[in-house]
Amino acid sequence: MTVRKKLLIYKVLLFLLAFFIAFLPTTSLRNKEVNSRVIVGILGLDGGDGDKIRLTVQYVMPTEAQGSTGKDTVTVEGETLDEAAETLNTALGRRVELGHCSMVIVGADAKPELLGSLMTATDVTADVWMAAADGKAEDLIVDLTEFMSKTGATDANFIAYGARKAHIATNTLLGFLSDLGSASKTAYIPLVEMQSGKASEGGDSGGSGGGQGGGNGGKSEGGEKASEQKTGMKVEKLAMYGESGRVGIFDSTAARGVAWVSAPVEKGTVCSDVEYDGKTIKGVCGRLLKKHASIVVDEKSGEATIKIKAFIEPHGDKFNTLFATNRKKADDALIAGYTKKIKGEVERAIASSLATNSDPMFIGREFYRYYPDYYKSQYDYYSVKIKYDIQIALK
Amino acid sequence: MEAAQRILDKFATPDNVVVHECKCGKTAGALIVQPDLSDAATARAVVFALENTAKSLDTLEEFSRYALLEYDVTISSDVDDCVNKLLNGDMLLCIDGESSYAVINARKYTTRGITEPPTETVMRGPREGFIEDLKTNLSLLERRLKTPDLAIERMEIGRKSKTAIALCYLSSVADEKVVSNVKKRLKKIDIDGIVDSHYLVPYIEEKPLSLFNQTGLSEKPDIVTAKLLEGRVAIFVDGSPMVITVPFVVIEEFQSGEDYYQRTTYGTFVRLLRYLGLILALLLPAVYVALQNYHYTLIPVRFMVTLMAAIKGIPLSPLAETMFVLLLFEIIREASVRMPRAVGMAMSIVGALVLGETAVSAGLISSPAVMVIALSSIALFTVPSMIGSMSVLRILYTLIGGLCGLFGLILAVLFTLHYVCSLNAYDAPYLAPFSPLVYSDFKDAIERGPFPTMKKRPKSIPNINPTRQS
Amino acid sequence: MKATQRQTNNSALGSENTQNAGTTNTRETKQASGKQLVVIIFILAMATKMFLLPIFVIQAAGRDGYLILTVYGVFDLVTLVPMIIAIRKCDVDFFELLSSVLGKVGGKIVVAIIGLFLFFKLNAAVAEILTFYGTNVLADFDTSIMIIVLLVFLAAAGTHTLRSLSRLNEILVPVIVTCLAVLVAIVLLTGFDFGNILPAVDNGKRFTSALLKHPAWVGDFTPLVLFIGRTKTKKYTWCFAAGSGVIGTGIAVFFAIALSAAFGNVPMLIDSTTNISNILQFSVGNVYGRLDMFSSVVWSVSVFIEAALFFYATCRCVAFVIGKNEHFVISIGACVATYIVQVFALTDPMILSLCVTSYACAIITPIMAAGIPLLALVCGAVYNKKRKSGDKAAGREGV
Repeated sequence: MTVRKKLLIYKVLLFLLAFFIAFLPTTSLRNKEVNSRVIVGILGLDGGDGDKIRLTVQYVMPTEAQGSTGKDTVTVEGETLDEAAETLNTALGRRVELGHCSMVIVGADAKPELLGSLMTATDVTADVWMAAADGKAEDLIVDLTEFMSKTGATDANFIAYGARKAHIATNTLLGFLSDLGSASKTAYIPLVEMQSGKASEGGDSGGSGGGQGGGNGGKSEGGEKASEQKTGMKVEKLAMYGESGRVGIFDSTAARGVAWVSAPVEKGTVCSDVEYDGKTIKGVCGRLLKKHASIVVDEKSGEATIKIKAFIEPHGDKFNTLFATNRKKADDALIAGYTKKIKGEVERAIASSLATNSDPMFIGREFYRYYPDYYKSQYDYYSVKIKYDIQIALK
Repeated sequence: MEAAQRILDKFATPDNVVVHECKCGKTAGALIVQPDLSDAATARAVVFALENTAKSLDTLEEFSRYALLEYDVTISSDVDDCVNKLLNGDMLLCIDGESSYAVINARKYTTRGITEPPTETVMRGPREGFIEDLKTNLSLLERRLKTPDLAIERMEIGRKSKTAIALCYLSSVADEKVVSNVKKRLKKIDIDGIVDSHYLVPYIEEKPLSLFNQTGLSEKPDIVTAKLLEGRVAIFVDGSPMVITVPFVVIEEFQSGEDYYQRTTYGTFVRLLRYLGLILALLLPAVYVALQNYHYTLIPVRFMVTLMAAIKGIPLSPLAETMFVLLLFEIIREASVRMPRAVGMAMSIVGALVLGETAVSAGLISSPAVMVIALSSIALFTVPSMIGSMSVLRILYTLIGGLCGLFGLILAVLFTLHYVCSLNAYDAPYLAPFSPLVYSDFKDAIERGPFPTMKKRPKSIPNINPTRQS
Repeated sequence: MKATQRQTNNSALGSENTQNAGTTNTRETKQASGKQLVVIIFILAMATKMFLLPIFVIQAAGRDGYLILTVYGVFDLVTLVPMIIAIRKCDVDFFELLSSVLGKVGGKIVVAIIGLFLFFKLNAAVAEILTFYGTNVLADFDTSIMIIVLLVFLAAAGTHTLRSLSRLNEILVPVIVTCLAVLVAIVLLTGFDFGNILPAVDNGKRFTSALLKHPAWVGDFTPLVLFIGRTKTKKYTWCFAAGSGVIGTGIAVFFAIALSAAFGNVPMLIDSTTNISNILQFSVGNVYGRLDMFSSVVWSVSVFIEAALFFYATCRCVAFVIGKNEHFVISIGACVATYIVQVFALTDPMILSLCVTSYACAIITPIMAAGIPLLALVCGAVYNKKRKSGDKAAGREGV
């Protein structure tokens, strides 16, 4: 190609580029800039009047002070989730940004199928953490907002952290929906409860603003007494869900039992009473380093064997006292103690699951995976014989 | 004298040329001198020799052999050639009865001293740089390559300027095809004058309209020597301190002479910094605008909150703001190069503080935008030879990123990469050794390998002798 | 003074352009190296099979989606074998090969059909790109504008040589591989529950129906015909080429397994906004930004390369059929045709979905996917035989 031809082609392309650039702003103008959006940190779902849905969000906005931000909450209602999400834009006067949502809180009366719509119809990602409220998600979010402004937390990951530290099973949105859609038709979410306490003298409920990521606490719609404040949170229980909705709440022991088998939680503390030299030594604790858990099912016997291998590092004076005289005897005593504790927690979880007609251990799912025909024809959760194979390795 | 008159008739102003009439042995003669370019002492000495020692001589041949023994003399009967040599500073001796001329080398003109080039300063290593005199430049090269393999082919280009060009290469290393290709291209040039080496660049490059450099330019003899040793061809131009080298591959932009005079680890670290600097310089403003306009979900929450607070109240859209700051930086950069030194300091303060800080305080632009563009601009200077092309590319990418987001930006980067992959002048792939992958050349690409490991010459540059050291 | 050569250049400038080297209209000889062939095979094996296909097959077949993808992957690997043999054995251009074996007219007819198939594959790839980017990265952006940007890149690819495209791929593959390696590591190290893919083929009817509905995604190796006669191969190139195909397919299958495991119980929830990056079971994206989208964008560059290869192949087919080497004009024409198809014919995504899942497509695509490499192999064998007998005859005449 001659230089003249090339130059001509370049001129034509340049003209087209200029034309293109001139036209393109008409498309880009449709997009809102980042500061015309509202970032949602926590989202809550509740049932409303009739079949309505109540959507509560905690959002972050820049305030008037340079560089500072504030958190606040807003609640909207709608017939469907889409409608509620649109109402949210209207309520805030800005386009809501759900892609940064770090937690979804499910109220007691929220239907699980809403969560499927949440994942597919909005920008909420599949790996967002889930939490459950004892009552209304709306109230919990308001309390959490106040709590976060006090502690200076910028996102809700601390809830998942707290759950893992307490050896409670956590779950993501996709994990929850997948569990619910599995053969066991059961899913769980950690239950978050707030601890209340009286405000300290001279303190104010507003907190100090101006700091980045902190800022003023939002208005509470819960109508709390001025003297009472949220001083902490508890994540000890599990909310259990079936196809119809929430079927029950597992207490802390049962919740720990579920975590041993079903959840990838590997951290936390294990404490048990140990029988040693005819004496009962209470509260010998150890740090859980690692665990392997599996369920082995057998269609012929209809049995499910729960296998758990836990690596625990005992700590504290109580262990040293045991260890001082006879190492092997101490180890055996500790192993027996921890085995009993873990087995007790798992048995408690099984009992709770039978009571709530749920299968948080996913025994049904295991049967379905390996023996689908057996599952379809004969399987009954209530008649499964459960065995335990718990091994403790002390470090 | 008729012979002298023939020479003088060629000039528009013959008064510029001085004719010394003298007695040359048995006949009369005339010495024609260009006083601006020739050495006056040599002229006097030649006249003295002709009048006093050549009494029995009467032909130019005899004069050159016996009387002018210590001078470099050639005999020429081509008037145009003699005029050309006169214009280069040689003296012409003509005598009665002969139509030929004795051309005596008496060139002497003022040149600047050899100093460190301002564009290639180093902390360690040689500080000599080329100057505008071809002879001096070639001597700097010949001092470093004391081998009969060093081929220096001279030619003149430019109908009016008759600029002396020297094509240098190592005959035992450089590929003959490359050399003949370069020679062919140079010979095809028909122009009235070559003022600087950069005049030759469009004739030598494969794609002269391209944004990317396809020839190497250097002012340092050590760098040119190193390039010749790798099989390249160097083109020296009289009147220009910049020497052109071909073939050229993109990693040369990231190589600095100083890399080879520092320890290997540091040299490698600095090279990595340059690559990173270029990527930051090119893509940072574009990514910043694209994320703000289309992909805020990619921005971490905490940074997004900071950003939202910072751009609150800014009247311009992110793209307009970034383009404004970019253009501002380009104007400041260009002005700082052109402005006189006396006002340089004051204007820098005006540019940086007044325009930058005041504009932010006034709420015209945001501080993240200023910071991003400043970082990008500073990063651009890690590869000074690419500033021109990368500045343009940076603006284009920012425009595309702001209009089409990451999708457009990625396609723009792919387009650019595809284009540079297509550059293949003199059988040297532009992106070698990255593409096509040449493992052995990586020793001097991203890392600066130790010299003992560089046993072979780079395969990316065609050469006929791959072994460098045993 | 050393005698040196002195020349004066006074010749008038002719009309000859000195800048001839590397122009795009040169006849392409050996344009690609064995290494470049290997990495191109890797990209072709992996790109579109890892893009939206896993989503479609999971929507259709549930947890068995990965099996369908495996079947397609194996089918393509089988078709890769004759292709590699053809590249290894033939040292003439594919088009020349067809001309000499089938005749000029016959060759053009065959190439026209192949060109149509490649154009179809191109449009499928472009539609996938637009869908993915339109729903994930550039929501609310006008598709008719988005495609222009893509077509500019494709036009550039079509105008230059195979060498440029191969080099581009070679330089990008390390980035893509690094991104994939990080994703694989994350999947493996975060305790992903792969058990959800069991039980396998629980619903045979649904599996079969899904298998027959998505063969439009086979035939990814058909553009490799361009490498016949244009690749500098070494002794073990064919070995590495086959290996890279297996590895690429393996990676696509691995991620399909991960997606199937994640959505096996809830296949109705998977859509084009889902990708391997954002389903990993740890919630880093919410706080540190959607890094998953960033990594998706990086590895999806492989789909751009694949689309560029299909485009390039289509343009070459058109050039051969019309008998002119006007690469720029042909590229622009192909861009316009693609634009018309994407913006006007395929306005409704349902139309594309109906096209690619139709039974006609299910029959034609595998035939073409298998037929093109076999054709290349057979023609190559015939051509070599003809040449040998021709050489023998010439040798006898010489004696």
